[in-house]
Amino acid sequence: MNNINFHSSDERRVFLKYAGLGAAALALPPFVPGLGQKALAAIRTGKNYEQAKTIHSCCNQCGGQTGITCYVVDGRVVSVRPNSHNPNGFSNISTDFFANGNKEGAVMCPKGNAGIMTLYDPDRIKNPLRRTNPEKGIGIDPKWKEISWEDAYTEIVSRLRMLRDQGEAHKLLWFSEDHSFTHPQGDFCKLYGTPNYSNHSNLCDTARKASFKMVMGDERPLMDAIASKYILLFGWNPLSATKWAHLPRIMTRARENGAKLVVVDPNFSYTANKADEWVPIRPSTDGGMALAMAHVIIRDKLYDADFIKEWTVGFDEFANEVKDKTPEWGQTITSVPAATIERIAREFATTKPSLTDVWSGPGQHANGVQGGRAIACLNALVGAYDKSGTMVIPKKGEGKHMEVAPDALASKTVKMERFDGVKSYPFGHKSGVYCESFTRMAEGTGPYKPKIGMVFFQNLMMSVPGTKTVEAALKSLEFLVVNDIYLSETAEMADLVIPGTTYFERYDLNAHWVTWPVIGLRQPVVPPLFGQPAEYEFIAELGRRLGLKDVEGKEVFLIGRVSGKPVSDKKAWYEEWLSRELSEGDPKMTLEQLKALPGATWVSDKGTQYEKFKAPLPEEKLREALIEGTLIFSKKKDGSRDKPIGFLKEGKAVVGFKTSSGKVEFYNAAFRDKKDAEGKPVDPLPVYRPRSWQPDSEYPFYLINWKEASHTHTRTQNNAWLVEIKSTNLLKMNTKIAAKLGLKDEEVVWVESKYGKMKAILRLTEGIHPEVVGSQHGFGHWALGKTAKGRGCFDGDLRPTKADPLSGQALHKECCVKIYKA
Amino acid sequence: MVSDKLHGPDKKESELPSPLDPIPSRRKFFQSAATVVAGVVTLAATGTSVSKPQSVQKKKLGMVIDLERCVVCRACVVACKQENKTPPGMSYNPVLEEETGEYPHVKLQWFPRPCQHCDKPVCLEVCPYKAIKKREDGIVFIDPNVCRGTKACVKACPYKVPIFDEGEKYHEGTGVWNEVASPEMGLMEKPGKRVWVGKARKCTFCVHKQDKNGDYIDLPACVKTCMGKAIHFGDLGDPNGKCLAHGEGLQELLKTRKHMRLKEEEGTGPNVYYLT
Repeated sequence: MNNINFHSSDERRVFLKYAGLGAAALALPPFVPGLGQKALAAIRTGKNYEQAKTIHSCCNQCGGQTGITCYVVDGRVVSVRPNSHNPNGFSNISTDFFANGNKEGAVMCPKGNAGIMTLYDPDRIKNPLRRTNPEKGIGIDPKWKEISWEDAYTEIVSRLRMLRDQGEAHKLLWFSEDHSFTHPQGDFCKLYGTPNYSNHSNLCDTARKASFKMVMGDERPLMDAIASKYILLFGWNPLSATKWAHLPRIMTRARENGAKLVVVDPNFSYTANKADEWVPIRPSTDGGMALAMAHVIIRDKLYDADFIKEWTVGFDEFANEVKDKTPEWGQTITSVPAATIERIAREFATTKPSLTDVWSGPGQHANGVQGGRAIACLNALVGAYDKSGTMVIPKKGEGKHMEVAPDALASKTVKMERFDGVKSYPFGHKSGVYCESFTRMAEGTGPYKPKIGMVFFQNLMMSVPGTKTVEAALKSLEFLVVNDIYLSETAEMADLVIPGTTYFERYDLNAHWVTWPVIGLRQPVVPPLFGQPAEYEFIAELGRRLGLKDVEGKEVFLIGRVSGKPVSDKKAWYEEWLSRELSEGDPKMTLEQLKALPGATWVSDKGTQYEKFKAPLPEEKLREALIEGTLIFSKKKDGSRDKPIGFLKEGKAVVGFKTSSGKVEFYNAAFRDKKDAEGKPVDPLPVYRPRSWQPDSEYPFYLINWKEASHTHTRTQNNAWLVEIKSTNLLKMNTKIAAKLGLKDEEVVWVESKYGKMKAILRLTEGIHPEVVGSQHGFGHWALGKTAKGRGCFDGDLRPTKADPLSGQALHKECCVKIYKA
Repeated sequence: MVSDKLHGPDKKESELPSPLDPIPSRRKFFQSAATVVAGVVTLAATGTSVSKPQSVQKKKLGMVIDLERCVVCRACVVACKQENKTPPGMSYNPVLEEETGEYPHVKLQWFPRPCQHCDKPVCLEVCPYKAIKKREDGIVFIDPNVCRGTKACVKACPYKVPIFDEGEKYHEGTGVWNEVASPEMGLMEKPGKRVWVGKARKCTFCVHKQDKNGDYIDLPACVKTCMGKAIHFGDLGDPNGKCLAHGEGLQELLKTRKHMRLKEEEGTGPNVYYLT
C-alpha cells in the first residue's frame, strides 16, 4: 500500500510563459491549396463512425448518470458523445434546458469521454474465479482458478441454500452501489430473508442528507445556481468533482450573470480557483463559521423576517444560541478572519437571491451533521429555500418499484435486527452503516455472526475507512462473493469472483439529478463482452435456482412482470421488470416507448416548480389522507400512516416542508429525546462542537482528501486515458510550512497517524491551509489492474473504521498526522 | 446561425473513397519532393517552385476560448483522445496550468492548447517535404501521405503542438481495444493500418467532421464536450462569423472581452484567442 509512482505527470509545473524564441522574421508562406475540397472529401471513408449505429444511454463512470450517445461500428463502441436530449448534461432547471439545451448542446466530463477504455480494458475479469489459497489478506495471492459459470452458480446457490435452510438467512450481508440495479438486489434480499441489504450512500453524503432533512425536511435539495446572485459553498468542489455534468455550465453562467461565488475550503480546489473569493478554513469548523455568520445576520437584522415568521419555527432559540457566536469567536474556531466572516455574512444576507450549500468536505467529520445543519439554517435565515436562485427541493420522476412481500420462511428472518445497527443512529439512512457493520464483523460483536457476504460494484477495502478492520471483517465471513469488472482489492478477499458488466452492457433507469421529473434509460450498447450475465441476470439466476417466491408463491425472478408468465430469457425478464416500473411510475410508458423517445430520455413537460411548500394540498389528496395533529400523511393500503404530504397552516392544508412542524426548523425540541449512536442526547439546535480528533504536538496536521473531475472513487484508476490527465495523487502541503520542516517539492515522505502510515510524494503549494495536508482520493491501489497498481498514495489505513454517530456517515476526513522524510 | 443538427447524433454520409487512395496531384508532388531530398536541397526553396499560385483563403477557422468558463476539467483532452486515438501519453490539446500568488491569494493560470492554426505556420515553413498545408479554410494540416517523420515541425513549433507517433499502443497485442476503429479520418480503423506511425500528427480542428462542402456536420470533439461551454469555434475571417457550437458572434466576443493570443510576438498569427 505504500507504493509510489515516480512517473508523476502532474502538469502543474509545465511552463506557462512560452519564452520568446529568437525568431527571425518568417517569410510569408504561400497558401498551398494542398488538400483541396476534393482531397478533403477523400478523407471521409465509407466505413467511419458517421455510418455507425447510434444508441442513446446513460453514463455510469460515476453516479451522475449523464446522458450519452454511443456510436457502434461492427459491434464495437467507437465513440461516446453527449446526449443533448437528456437535461442532466445541460442544466438542472427546466426553463434553462428547454430554452437553451438544443441550441448549446449537452456536455460530458473526462470520465465519460474515457468510457471506451474501461469497456475494452484488457484487465477486466472474463470468467468466474475461485480462490484456491484458503489464506486471505492484503498481499496474499488468492491463487485464482477459472471455473465454469455452472460451477460458480452451483457453489453460490448451495451456500445460500444451506444458510437459508438453517433459518439463518439474515446472516447474509449484501453491499451494493446506490444507483445501479438496486431494486432486484433489494428484492432478492427480502425474498431470501435478510434485512441486511445496504448500499454506498453512507460512505458518501448521508451527513448532508441528515443536515438538510433536520432543517427543511428534504434530504437532497439542489442549488439553482444559474439564477442565483450569491453562491456560498462549504467544502464542495462542483466544478471539478462534477458529479452532474451540468454543474460547470450553470455555475460559470451564474458568474456571467453577475453572481458572486465564494468557496470555503481548506484546499484551493478547482472550484475555489474559479471563485471570486477562496476562504481557507480549518477542517471541520464550517459549522462554526455558519453560526458566526448567523450571529451577524441576526444582530444586524439582515434576515428575511417575513419568511421566518411565516415559514419557520425556533428562530428565537436559534438567535439565542448564536448570541455569543461573534465573528471573533468564529475566527478562533475557524481561522477565518472575523472581518471576513462579517463581510461574507452581510453579502450573503443582502444579495438576493443567495444560497449556501455544503457537501462532503465538512460532512465527513464527526461533527458534520450539526455543522451542515448550521449551514442549512443560513438558507433559512434569508428565505433561500425552493425559490428561484436558491436551494430547490427537486421533484424527481421515478419508475415505480413494485414491492415484493417475502414468503413465510423469509419473513421470519427478514424481520430480524439489521446487523449494522442503523436504528441506533437517530438520523441513519436506509443505506445502512458500513463502518458499524465492518467493526462488528471484525470484533465479533453485533447481534449475530454474519456468514456470507455478497458485494456488487463496491471496493470496500478502499472505500471504508480503516482498511485493517475491513480486512479482518471480510476474513471473518465464511463465504464472500464479489461481482466486479476488475480484480479489485475487495475481490482479492473473495472466495468467488464473478465478472460484472460495464454500463455499456446493461440496463438501468436513471432518475436524474435535476429539479423536475426526468428519467434516462441506460441500455446495453453492446452485449456483455465475455458472455457474462448482467448483474440483474446473475441475481435472477440465483433467485431461480434457490426457488425464491413471494408470499403468494410467485417466482418473482422467473415470472415476467408484464406478461405474468415465466420468461426464461433473463434479459427479456428484466425488460418486463423495467417496463412495468415505467408504466406504473411517472412516465406511464413501456420500455420500448422510452427507448423510442429522443435520447431515450423521458422529460416531463411540467418543469421546475418553485415554492411548492406554499401550494394548497389538493382536495383529492386530502380526502384520502390521515391527519395527526397538524400533520397530514398519505395512507398505506392497510390504512396505516405512510408518507408526510402536508400540514395544517392556520387551519388550511398546505404542502409545507416535510419536517415535524411542516415548517423550516431552526430548533427541534424533540431531538433532545433522541440519543446518538454513542448514547449522547441530540442537540435540539445546530450547536458547534469540535470534532473529537484534533491535531496535537505529535500529530500536528489535519489530513483530508477530495475528488476531482479526473477520477471516480477507487474505480477509474485503471483507465489509461484518465491516468493521463491525472496520473497520481501528490500530497499537497503549504509551501511555508514545508520550508520550516525542511521538506522539498516532490520529496517522498511518510504520513503517519496513530493508526497507520503511508508514503506519499509532496506537492508544495500556496493553495492549502497551513495546518492541513491532503490529496485526491482514489489512488494507491495494490490491485485492480496493471495501470492502477502502485500509483499514488492511499490513506484509508490512517483512520479508524468510524461513523458519525447521528447519520452513520463514514468519517473519511477525520484524521491527524505527522509528516517526515522517508 | 448555429444549426441544431450539430448537437444531434444521427449523421449519415454517403460512401466516399478512402483517404489512402492516391490522389493524382498529390502523388506528383510527392515524387517531386523525393527528388529534392535525393539532392539534399531544402524544400523551402523548391517548395515555392512546386507550389501553386497563392489562393485566396476562403475561411479562417479558429477558436475563441473563454477562460472564465473553462473549469480545467480536461474533458476536452479526453474527448480528443477518444476522437483521434492519439498515442499513449500524447495529446493534441493539453491543458497547461501553473500556480501563482501567495497563500491565501493564490490563483491558477491555465489554458487549453489546441493547434493554433497559425496564419504563418512555422511547421509548414520548416517541413522539408512540404507535408504541411495551410488549407483554404485556415486549417493547418499534416498530410500523412507526404510526411516522412523528420520531426522538423515537432522541433520548430513555438507552441509545441505537433507530436510524433512512435507507434506505441495503449494495450499490447491484438486485444479488443486495438481493434476499435478510430474516428479520425477513418485511418486507423483496421489493425495494422495505422497511417500515423512514424509521422508527425496534430490537431486538425477535427477536419474529418466536415462534409464534402467543407461544412461541419458535427462539432470538433473538444468543442462538443466542453463542460463550461468555453470553446467557441468558427470562421474568424467572417465579420459576422458565429460560433458553430453556441451561436455567439465571434467578433462580438473579441470586441467586448479582453483577450490574448499565445506568443503573438512570434508573428505566427495564431488563430486561437483566449478571453481572460
